[in-house]
Amino acid sequence: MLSTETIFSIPVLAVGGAAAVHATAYIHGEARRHLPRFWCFFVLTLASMAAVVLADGKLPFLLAWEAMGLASAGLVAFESKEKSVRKATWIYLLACHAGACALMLAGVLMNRPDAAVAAFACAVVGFGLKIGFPPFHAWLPEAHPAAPAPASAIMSGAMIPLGFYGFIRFFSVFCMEPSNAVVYGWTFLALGAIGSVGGILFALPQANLKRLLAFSSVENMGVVSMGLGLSALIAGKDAKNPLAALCMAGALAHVLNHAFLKGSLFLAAGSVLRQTGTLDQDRLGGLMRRMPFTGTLFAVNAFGLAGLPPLNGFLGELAIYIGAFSAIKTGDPVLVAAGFLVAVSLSVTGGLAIAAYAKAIGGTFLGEPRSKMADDAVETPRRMWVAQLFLTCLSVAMVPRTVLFVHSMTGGFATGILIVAAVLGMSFAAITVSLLLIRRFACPRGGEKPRLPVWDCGYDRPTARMAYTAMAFTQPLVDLFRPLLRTRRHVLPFKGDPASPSDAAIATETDDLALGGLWRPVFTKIARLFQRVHLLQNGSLHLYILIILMAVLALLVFAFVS
Amino acid sequence: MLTLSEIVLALFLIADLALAGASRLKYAIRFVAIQGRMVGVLPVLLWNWEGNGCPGARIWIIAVVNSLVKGVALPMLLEYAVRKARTRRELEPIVSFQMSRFIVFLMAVGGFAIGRLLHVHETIASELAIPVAFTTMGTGLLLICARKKAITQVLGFLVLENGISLFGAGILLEYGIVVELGILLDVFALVFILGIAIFQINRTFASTDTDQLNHLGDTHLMHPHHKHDHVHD
Amino acid sequence: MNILCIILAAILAPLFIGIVNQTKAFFGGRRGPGLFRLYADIRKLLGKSCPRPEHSTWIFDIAQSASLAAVAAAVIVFPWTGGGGLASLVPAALFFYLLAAGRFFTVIGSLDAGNAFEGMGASREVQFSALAELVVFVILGFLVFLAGDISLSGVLSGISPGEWRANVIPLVLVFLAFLAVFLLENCRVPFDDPETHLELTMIHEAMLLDVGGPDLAFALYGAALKFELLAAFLVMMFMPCFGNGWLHVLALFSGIALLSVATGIIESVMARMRFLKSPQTIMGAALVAALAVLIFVCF
Repeated sequence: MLSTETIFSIPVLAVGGAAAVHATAYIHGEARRHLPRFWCFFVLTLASMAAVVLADGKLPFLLAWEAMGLASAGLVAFESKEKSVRKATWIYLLACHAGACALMLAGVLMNRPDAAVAAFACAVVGFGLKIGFPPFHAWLPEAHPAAPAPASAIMSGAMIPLGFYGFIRFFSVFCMEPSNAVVYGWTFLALGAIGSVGGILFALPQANLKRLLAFSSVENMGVVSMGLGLSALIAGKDAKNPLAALCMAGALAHVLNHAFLKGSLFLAAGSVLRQTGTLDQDRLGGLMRRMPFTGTLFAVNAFGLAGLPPLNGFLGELAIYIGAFSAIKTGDPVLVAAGFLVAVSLSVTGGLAIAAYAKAIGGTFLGEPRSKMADDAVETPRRMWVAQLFLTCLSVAMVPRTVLFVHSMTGGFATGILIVAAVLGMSFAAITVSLLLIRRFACPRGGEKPRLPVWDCGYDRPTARMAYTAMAFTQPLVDLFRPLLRTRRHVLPFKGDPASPSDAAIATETDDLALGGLWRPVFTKIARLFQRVHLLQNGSLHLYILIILMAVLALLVFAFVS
Repeated sequence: MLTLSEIVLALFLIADLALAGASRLKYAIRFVAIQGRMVGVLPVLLWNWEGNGCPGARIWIIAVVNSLVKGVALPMLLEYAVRKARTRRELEPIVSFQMSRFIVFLMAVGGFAIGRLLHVHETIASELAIPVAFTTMGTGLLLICARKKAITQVLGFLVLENGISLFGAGILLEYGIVVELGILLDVFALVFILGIAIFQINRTFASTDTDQLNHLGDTHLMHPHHKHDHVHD
Repeated sequence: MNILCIILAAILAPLFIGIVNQTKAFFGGRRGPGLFRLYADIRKLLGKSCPRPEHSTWIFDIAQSASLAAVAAAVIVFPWTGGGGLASLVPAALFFYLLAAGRFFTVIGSLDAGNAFEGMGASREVQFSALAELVVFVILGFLVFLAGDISLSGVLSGISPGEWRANVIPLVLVFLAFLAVFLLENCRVPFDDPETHLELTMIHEAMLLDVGGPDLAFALYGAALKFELLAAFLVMMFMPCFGNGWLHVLALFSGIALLSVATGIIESVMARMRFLKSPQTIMGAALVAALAVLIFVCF
């Protein structure tokens, strides 16, 4: 059985290593001048992440945590010439510091036995700001697209889940008195359900590939959180129930799976950016033929992250599914409700994830190139896709490893089911191969594969501009959830004579609900409040003297009274 | 668990969902009519046949009157009003149909919770009755609040009344029936008046959108298509 | 015996599509293409060459094989003989995830062709399947609660007449909700009309516009298998248990045949609903299923 420290340090080292290899080629051209700065922050980030895992006691942990935030902010700010990057860095720094503040408070409160729940609430804010619990996820979709791809990979794959490490380490979600288990469990469940469904929902309409991936991180952390919450609830009823261990194992396995898959996807997004200069999926397309290695690895990883068998992303989720359905089976009202919540949220997440990742693959790599940049793209230097390949291999290796891991954590409970699931996944792959062989060798003309023009309703000259765009692909689903997503449309309508109309255009934009709906108004209010305080510091000496006098007076009164 | 009355109650719940999602006025009226007929027969169905023998004439009269008034007369009146007023046949939702249905579902969850809390098991006719009654009342309120057309307000009142009589029938109130007849009279009068009023309003203003009727607040009469004119005159 | 049943199911699958079409022909007053039309179609297609769009990649090449393979894997784990065997180890969730994996390949395969119509079909497919997934998992939760077992064979262990009498309301509601999923997933009326080949309203067929030859045969056969599989799921969910013998198999397949006839009748008497209405209807089905759970759990 792996210790928690091991589980959380594997992503740091694996994704960190792969990202480093990728970064040697990712940063090219003019940007190489700033290479020392990049490596400095990169190494500092990795070191502080390792320190977070290895920290012995609360104070070193907090120090390492703060260092991790600062160092990674340096990474986010790498391309600081761009205004959007500077803005994203500010948001990220703010999130880091607010989180650290909340964590210090939690650390103080934790020592008092009567303030356990208050400490937990502070930790939900503090760690939640790193994990991306809604509504604290607002920095993710801003910082990830701004940061260089290798940095996004380590931040999304390895750094975000460290929040869960903090929870497991300091709040032992696993074994505690039953009364707190209910609070902890439902908090995790509710945040996880909202995070997973909301995260993938907001990933759907995003045109920017890295923004899509960032929202999908929110989703995956939601899945992990639901697993942990369910585990806490079950353990609260009966600490020896193997189901609790099963959910826990599923959640932890998903941390590893997500790290490898998402790390690789972010690296692929970086490769696309480097080769084409854009991440807008509506302007990409057709890259699979131009960048076959990057594209193939992206497709494999996206398939895994959509949670489909036979890849590893599925097995972790399956363990949580088994936990949820077994919770329903028990008939205990609380567990039934929790089980239904988890099962339904996971299924909605799964269905929407298929749409989101099909969009990511289809929009970026398949079909026809929709712009000259995509048309001119060539394959990356070898080490870039080798870094991806490394992580993909780890993902594949995680298939049996997940089964073993769950087996060791639960002491054999549900092992048979997971083995059958893994084998079934393999047989799915095997049947695919045999069907391909049948098509090739058993069919009389299966070897002939003539290339024919695409059928376009009898139209003679189909062009790439007529193909479905990534935005159009998700438009029905986005429309369905319009009240929530609040997607804005910018339409440039046709003008003039209908026979020779002018150019028309449509663009959509979906802002994060938490950022626009909660944080921006809140911070505007705070800023206004401080403007009022500003009156006290208006440069007039008289006012200052008055303030000092008042203070002295107040102190005198205080001294006399007490 | 299975009795005829419970099947009717379950159908009632489905009718609530359907009402919340109905986009055509015609269908909405039809669902209300079905609900009205079901509410009419419920007192007979919920009657304890083994214990009390054949129900007396009072119950039968109530059943017949209820189903005739709520299930036939009022819906016909409404359909007549719609035809006469020539309003658009689509309902204009303030809260989307999808959301309305989801709200009704949440109300059902709440209704079941309330049903659990109200431990009136001695007098209760069916365990489903109270949750369904609350859900129906909620649906009525939803229709009143979340649709623009004046006629849906009438529908909402009818549904609300259905819920109230369901509640009365469900917990077998001794005098419930008398009270209910009173309410029925109220609603009848209301529907009648509103039906005529809508017709008249429509003739005067060519619209029954309650948003526009809001501007009737001050004493000016104004044409709905120039709703900001009255500021100047 | 299980293997025999799997082979039987694999052989019979196209027949049920034939039954649907014959029923429709009967109601339309036509002679119809015959029960075994699909067999002939598949045989003919297997003998043809395998055309590809101009700029497609390996994804297009493997898409149809992979999606058929996913359905085939689901057929293998399905408890055709009722209870026991592999199906008692397979969680019901896995079954639907296999079907989802197959769908994923069809979708990205169609996106690979770079065809506007296929993109449209794929877009609709992911929309509807995401909603259908929600209904399915609410129903699965219901079945797990009812049966007290999370495995596929446990969930499908059937409902005895006594249970039917006791819980008829939630059971009927769940039946209706799953019927909606069944019709939607197989692209039948009222959600989609298989008759309107290549028209813009098509969901599933629109994704196959550029597929031909053996690949098309795979796709058609996969669709037939999926029809049979979901029909079998629906039948086994609600029919009383007939033990583990041939009697069960007989009952199951006659149930599927009946459901095929019923599908044909539905298609003959109903019109396809307005396309924008479909998501609302399927969301309504989800609510109905949730209502059933609520009624069932609260009593």
